[in-house]
Amino acid sequence: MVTSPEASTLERELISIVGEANVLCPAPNEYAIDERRPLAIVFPGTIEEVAAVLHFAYAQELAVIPMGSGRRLSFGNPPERVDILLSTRRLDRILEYEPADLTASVEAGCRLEAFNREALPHRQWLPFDPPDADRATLGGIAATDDFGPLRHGYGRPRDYVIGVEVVRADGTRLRAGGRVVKNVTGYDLNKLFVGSFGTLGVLVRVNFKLRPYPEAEATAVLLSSEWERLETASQQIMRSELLPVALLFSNAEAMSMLLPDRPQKALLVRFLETPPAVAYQVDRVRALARSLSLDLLDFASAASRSLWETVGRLRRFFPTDLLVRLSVLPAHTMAALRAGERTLSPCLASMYALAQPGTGIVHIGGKLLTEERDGFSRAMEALTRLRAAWEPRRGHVIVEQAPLAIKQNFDVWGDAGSSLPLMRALKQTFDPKRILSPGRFVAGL
Amino acid sequence: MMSWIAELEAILGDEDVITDPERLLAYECDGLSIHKHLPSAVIFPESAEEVVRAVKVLARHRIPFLARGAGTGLSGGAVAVQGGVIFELARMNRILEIDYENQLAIVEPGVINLALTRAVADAGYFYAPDPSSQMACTLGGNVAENAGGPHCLKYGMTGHHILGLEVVLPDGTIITLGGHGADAVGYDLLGLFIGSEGTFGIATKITVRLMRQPQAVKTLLADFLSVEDASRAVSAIIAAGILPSALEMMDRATIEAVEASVYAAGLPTDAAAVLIIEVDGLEASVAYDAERIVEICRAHGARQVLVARDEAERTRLWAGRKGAFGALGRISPDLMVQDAVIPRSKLPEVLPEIYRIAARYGLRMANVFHAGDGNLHPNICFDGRNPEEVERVKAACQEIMHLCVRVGGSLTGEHGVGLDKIAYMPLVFTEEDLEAMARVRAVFDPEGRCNPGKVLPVRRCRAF
Repeated sequence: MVTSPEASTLERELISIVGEANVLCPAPNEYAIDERRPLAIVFPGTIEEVAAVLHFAYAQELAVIPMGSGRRLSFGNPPERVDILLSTRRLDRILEYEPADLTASVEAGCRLEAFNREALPHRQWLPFDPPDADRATLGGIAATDDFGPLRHGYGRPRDYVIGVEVVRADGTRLRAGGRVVKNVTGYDLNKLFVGSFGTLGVLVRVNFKLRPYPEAEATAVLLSSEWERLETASQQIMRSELLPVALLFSNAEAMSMLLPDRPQKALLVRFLETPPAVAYQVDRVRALARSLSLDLLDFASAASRSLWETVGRLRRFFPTDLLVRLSVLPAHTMAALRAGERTLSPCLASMYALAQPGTGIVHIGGKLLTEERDGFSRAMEALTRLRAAWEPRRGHVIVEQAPLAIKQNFDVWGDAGSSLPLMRALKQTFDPKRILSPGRFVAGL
Repeated sequence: MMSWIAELEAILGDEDVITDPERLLAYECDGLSIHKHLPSAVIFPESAEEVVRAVKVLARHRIPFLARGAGTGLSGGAVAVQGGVIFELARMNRILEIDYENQLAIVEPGVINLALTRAVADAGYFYAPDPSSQMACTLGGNVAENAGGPHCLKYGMTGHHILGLEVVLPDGTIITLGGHGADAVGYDLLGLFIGSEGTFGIATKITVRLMRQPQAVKTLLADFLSVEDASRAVSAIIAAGILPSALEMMDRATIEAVEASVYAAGLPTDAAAVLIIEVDGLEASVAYDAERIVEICRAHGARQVLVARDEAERTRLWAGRKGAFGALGRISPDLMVQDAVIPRSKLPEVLPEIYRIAARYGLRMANVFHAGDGNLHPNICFDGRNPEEVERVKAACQEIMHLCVRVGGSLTGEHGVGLDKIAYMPLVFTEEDLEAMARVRAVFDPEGRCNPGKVLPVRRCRAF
């Protein structure tokens, strides 16, 4: 075993790479990951500096965790070790953006909002809305393949990444893909790095294909006291000609934050289209609501956008220390939502629940009731029951956020299936010394 | 010890193991006829279990092998360059499950692309990726190549529509990739496998996404007196924020060939180029976008813009487009179907240069391609019996590849590297990049027996 060098040596080395202003040693408390405080945080300003930091860490066998905005640092199993937290904050440039090509190349630390601010005047955008999207970096979104309700209509970030540049564990650089929207030249190594949570390499540059930004927007909110009727509405929408970009169930607690005067269960339906198509679709949903005797509120343009921004910030409005994702077959969404609510509500003081019936994604979050001694173990039992119920039905129960006491005894990812030996071999190939986010990914990779 | 052929015969039956050289000839090449290699044997498994058992026999004897669907590939990917066994999967052609509630279907790899769409059409669904060979090509082959087609522009490639795979690895282990309808956890090995050109294993079961048919479709035909004008119209449509479901270009040489063939679609033979533009979605949007497209084409010099009046006219236009390769194939003994991608804004600059290259080498060239996503198909009509002409074809292709890479493009948009483009790989990837790919391949196939000799260049003894 190689032990970490003295903190002062580490600090000196890092300063020699990135300069004194760009190293924090030791790391302030708020950067602790699962209660482990990194020895240092480093803010490289160039890809070369990232490579130099990795080169040094590799030689010293220091564990490195890459970080974008830090929005998702709570996601993952507790790290085996954390020596250096590598922030991409200063790598925030848009390197290429050619509107006529509908493609762009950015540094990993470039923020989604900053990029879309450049693209919107050209009526283009990256259609991503992960939680806390206003802070999210594009590298972080790619590394976690993070998504929000827009996944229903636009798919996941993995479908938009056309090229990456990665600094590997030993500091060497690797490029995959390219800058064109259609490309089968060699293996698609983009797929390996997107969604790998910083365990195979540090993303430093990401190339995306973009989408046209539609001219018009509206959201219809259907309200009810019963899930059944909202589920009927969502099924009718999904079987119709309508093309919502987001379709989201929200429980009453979440609605109390979204529309404080209407704290009821709801189905939110978002449209982004040409103006005549948005008008047509809102009319169709209005008629549907009437036929099902559901209350309907509709929001145009800016009001619609701001409603969805609030959806993306729910974690900030609710004190949250447990956030669970159930991923199931789309037809099972409502059953999973109800099972999740039923199973987790005894453990949570306040509980918000969101579910996408088109993609089978359910999120349940809230504040754990821990005043009783066995609060954590009750939550763990609940999670275990949920997982046992859903894994046999092609489902997964993923814990996106939880106190360390739970994570220490409960694998946040669950069963990775029959391809786990290949995943292990890939980890071994790209990170033989286990210095990249060790222990955080599936099966402790 | 039993010979491996006898062992395969014991598993599959004598008649499903071909070793007769005469009959093997049918498998010496795929859709790209310039690469010819005879396999040692061809076998016809009928189930995943037979695939597993046969793969295990070959693992024991260390024999190379590869899977093959309809053999319509255009990169020399489905030929046995080092001998060995071809798994012909045409008989594994059952649709196992159609699940409209979850919008998916589970199929065997030998199911023909169009057969799937036909099976779900009455219920109002379709399978989006539609390569020109869709009447013949198999979904297993589509997965191996990450196949494209005209409608990729809006709907994405094969990879966007595959939800899960059952795969037999080269040692005979059977694994599942992806979540088959729900998300999977862990590395995206499903995405990695798609487009690996048969070098990671054999897919024996495929879960695909079904899409709901759009409410409305409009297909437009715009004709231009210069290729440059047509190219600029393409860029202008994209820049206007319209995302057509397809945006295809055919040049005069292609139009002439199509109109002289059974695929004649009534295209104007005096045009320098035509665009076939399709928009689909909600009626309201389709009408709105079609109007804007007509305006843009006119503003960029279109002589006329026709809108297909009915389904029959639409079908005829698409038959002409998808029959273009067949029509071109008949005007000369051989056809080199090239495939390259460029950033779409470079079309007006690159297309004329490609014609100049063809002229310089005295070659007859026809361009028919997916203009909307910058995916070129410069096709060269030639006579393979004339070695001097073959050399000129190769030299021209090489210049085209260099040109496309120089403007920020790539070697292949949908046909794959196969055997045909290995030599160009160092143009786009460094040694380190290629070595990383070789290491990923070794994770799936440590002995290098699964479709060897494809995708990655070999240097001395070391595959890198």
